[in-house]
Amino acid sequence: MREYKLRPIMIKDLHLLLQWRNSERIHSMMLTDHKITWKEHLTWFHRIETDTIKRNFVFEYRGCPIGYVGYTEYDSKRRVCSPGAYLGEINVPIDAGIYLFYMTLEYAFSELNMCRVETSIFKRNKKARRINEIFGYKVIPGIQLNYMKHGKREIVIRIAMTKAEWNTNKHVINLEG
Amino acid sequence: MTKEKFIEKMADILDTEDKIGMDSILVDIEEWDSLSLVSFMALANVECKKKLSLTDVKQAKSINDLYTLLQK
Repeated sequence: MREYKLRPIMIKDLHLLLQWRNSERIHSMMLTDHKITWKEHLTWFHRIETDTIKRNFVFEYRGCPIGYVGYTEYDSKRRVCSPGAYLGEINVPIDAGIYLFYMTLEYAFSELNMCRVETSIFKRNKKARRINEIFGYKVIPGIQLNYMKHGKREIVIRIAMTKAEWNTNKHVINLEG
Repeated sequence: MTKEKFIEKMADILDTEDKIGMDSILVDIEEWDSLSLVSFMALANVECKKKLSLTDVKQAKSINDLYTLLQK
């Protein structure tokens, strides 16, 4: 686990982050169909730069940036947010995705002190749905949204997990062994 | 779990249309990734009551190696 870490985004990361975000592999899994412009990206960075509580990170493996983690829909009163993460690089160790997933949720509950996380996911994304279920996410009944991706209708479901569910399920996988 | 059942489960985990068998090499399976690996570990835990170590699973080279881990 020590080989992986989260660190706040710096200006030097911006080009790489935008390249990842607009790549077809990542873009196809995003709800928005719009490719982010450099101007929008820079505006976003200047906004998050002033956040007193850091909620956007670069995910590193042995000091090299390989992914992104961010928390949106942040509600400090209800202690709810929506975590999102992806691996930007392709040639990464096979366990990178597990650690990314684990560290994203652990940060939400332990550092941001959330009591519940919620996120949206394409219904067709079977693999992601399965891993979410393994770690304790549950589908919120009655919420199914339609999104247009590349002119095609896509169904999005909403999933959620409480801190108690995370604490129960995070040990399902033995990450230390 | 029988080998046939295991292959069926792995085909579902991998979500692949390619035919897989006990001799299939993991690095040759495009869908063998981090998410599939976690799903396999969860399968071991839930269905076989085996809490496998990540190190052991990462060392597996073939579908047969994964099956062997479940038999230990």
